[in-house]
Amino acid sequence: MGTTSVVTVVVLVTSAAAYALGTRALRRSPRHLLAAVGATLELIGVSTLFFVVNVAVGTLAIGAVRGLTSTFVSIYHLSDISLLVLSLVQGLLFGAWRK
Amino acid sequence: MTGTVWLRIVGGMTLSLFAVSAFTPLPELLSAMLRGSGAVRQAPAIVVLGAGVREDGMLSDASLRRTMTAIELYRQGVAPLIVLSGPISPSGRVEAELRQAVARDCAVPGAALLTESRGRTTREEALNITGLLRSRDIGRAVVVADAEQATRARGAFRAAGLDVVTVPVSDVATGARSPSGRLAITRRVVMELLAWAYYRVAGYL
Repeated sequence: MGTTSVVTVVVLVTSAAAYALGTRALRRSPRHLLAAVGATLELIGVSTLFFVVNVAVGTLAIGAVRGLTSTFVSIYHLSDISLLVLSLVQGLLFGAWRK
Repeated sequence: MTGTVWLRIVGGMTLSLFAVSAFTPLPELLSAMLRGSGAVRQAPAIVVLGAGVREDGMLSDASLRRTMTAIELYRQGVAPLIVLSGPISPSGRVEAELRQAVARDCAVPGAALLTESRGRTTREEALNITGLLRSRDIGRAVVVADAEQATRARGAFRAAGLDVVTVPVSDVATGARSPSGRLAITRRVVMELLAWAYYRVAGYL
């Protein structure tokens, strides 16, 4: 069994369990789930915008440092995974604050 | 449409992109397109592009992998000369010199090794190494580069005036079947496409 299969099965099983928990223990309806999907997409959208802006600002800043000083800063710093995670946090926080 | 709807559309597109990148072979297809194809032919020199030195002063995995590929090509008789590229790192170690030491340890004679340590970008490497080889009346070379970087490297060297074929070395295992492997390839493809677009706009290709 490959990684893709294991990951998919695990996520499907826990999602089904969460759905059962939500509908039975928390008495949430499928309509609430649809609204939650929309809200989640919205937060991911905000995070995506933060990521795009972070990369754009970083690129401009690195270009400015390279152009205005003799210091060389690699553009590859912007490919660090931490920028993606921090953009996600920014998006979640701003999205929650926006509401 | 309201801002909320737009944000949901962007979120949906992001999730779709993630799913396609992690669970379909699309990243590998894009990587293969950037890698290009072409048989390795005999040339006067093998050029190894820089790939970085770790904070502890050791060659990065990618740098070592490319160096070993060049040594293997040298042993196969592809070229009698290896040009090792790589600038000074924040640790103070010069990548090209570290690579030279590896090649010597692998029994490549010193006379078959050249180093170039001024180039910090692919374009600078292309300009400096082309100048170095041209001064030795060498107009052709085999360039060992990152798999996704191969197309841009080929273009940069040709624009600098060197006739090259590239030997792509993948930093992610080819035929990646795991989601994380595909996402790693996606990251490299996106970075390389942005770099390629920048080189096109700047007139470096």
